[in-house]
Amino acid sequence: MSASFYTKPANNGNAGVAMETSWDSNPGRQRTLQPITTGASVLAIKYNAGVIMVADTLGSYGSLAKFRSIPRVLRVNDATVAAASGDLADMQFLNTVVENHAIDEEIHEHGIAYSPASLHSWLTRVMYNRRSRINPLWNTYIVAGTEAGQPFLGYVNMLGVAFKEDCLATGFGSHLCLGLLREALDAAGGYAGLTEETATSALEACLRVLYYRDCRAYNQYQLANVPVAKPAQVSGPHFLQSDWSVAKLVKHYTE
Amino acid sequence: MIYSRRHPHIWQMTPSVLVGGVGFQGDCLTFMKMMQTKVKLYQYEFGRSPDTSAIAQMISIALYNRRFFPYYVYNMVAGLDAEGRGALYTYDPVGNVERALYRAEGNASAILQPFLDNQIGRKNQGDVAGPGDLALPKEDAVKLAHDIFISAAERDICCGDGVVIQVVTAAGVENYNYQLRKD
Repeated sequence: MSASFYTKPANNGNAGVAMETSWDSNPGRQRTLQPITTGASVLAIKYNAGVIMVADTLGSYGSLAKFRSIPRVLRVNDATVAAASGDLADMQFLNTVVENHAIDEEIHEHGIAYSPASLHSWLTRVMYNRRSRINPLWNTYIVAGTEAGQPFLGYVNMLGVAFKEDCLATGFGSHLCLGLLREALDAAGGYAGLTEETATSALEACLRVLYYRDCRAYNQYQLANVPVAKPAQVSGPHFLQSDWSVAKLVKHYTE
Repeated sequence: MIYSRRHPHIWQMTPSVLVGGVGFQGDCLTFMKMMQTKVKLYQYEFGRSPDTSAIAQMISIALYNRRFFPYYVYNMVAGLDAEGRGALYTYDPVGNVERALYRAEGNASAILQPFLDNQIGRKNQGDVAGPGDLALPKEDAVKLAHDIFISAAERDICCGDGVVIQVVTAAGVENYNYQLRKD
């Protein structure tokens, strides 16, 4: 079947947009139609001296909890971390590219490294470019780190939509947890008033909510902390304590 | 789903030209970045910033070049023309360009454009003369813009949180930020 998402003008092929037509000549080459093995939410919040990000370690194969120890948080360098939800094959591909860029920077030894803002910008371009070729990387990325002595937090999704905020979440987390994180920030009068402990406990509370309410969430997670004055640290796996004793009160939970 | 309450929609291309864009944010960010790059290339080649009408034409051409895979962006260019008077250019997603005295674009445009037609264009006001020479002082214009967005936030679900009003004058660009209802 020939690809005909839209009819290309006869004289100027591809409407002036670079589009590979390899699927016409090479039927084995395909495009991403749906995510296969997926990661669930990523949550992140700034605090007074940095930014913290969490992501569980589950790779879901549809509704099967198939891979229970997949790291989704990438430490790019001392000042930058990134985590992704969505298709994990696409995430691992893109993470390899980012890691190779970071290695190239170290090889050059010029002291210049990806800052979170530059990684966020680059990632936006890549995701938008793939989306414009109708072959997306089916991911939502959150980039966190230290930029010019200030905490940085940015979001990029598979359409190339990107923005920066003081707290971020992807997937189910954006529905269930963003409100909780925003409340924590409001209660502290902004991230400058939020301590590391409060931020961490807010994120843990959110992960717990997700484990209770998101069928694709998990109780094992990684945590990335990028303080403004110190190198980034990715720790894990951490285990989430949860209380399911209310389950027996649920009607028809057991027959 | 509110992603951010503080995402800007106006980009400053030169010290005296602002470009605003709303629509699909993936296209917005890309298009604005491309326009900023083109402005920089102009600056490197000619040693000065392009003026408002040059940027206005550049944007129209850039949009039409994607006539068959459009940027889903509604643009506006604000700056000063060669006589030092205010210039506003408005676009559709494929590059139709029109110089106007006032314009509303985006989600609440259907609510706001008629309001602007009445308040600035003095339409449907019986014997009152049309806009002719806009005799609106800057303070009144800023207040009107603020009031317009308060109205937009009342009735349009996508409008709210805050408004950034930027004023281009011969002295440069001034910023006014106001909070709006957050629901």
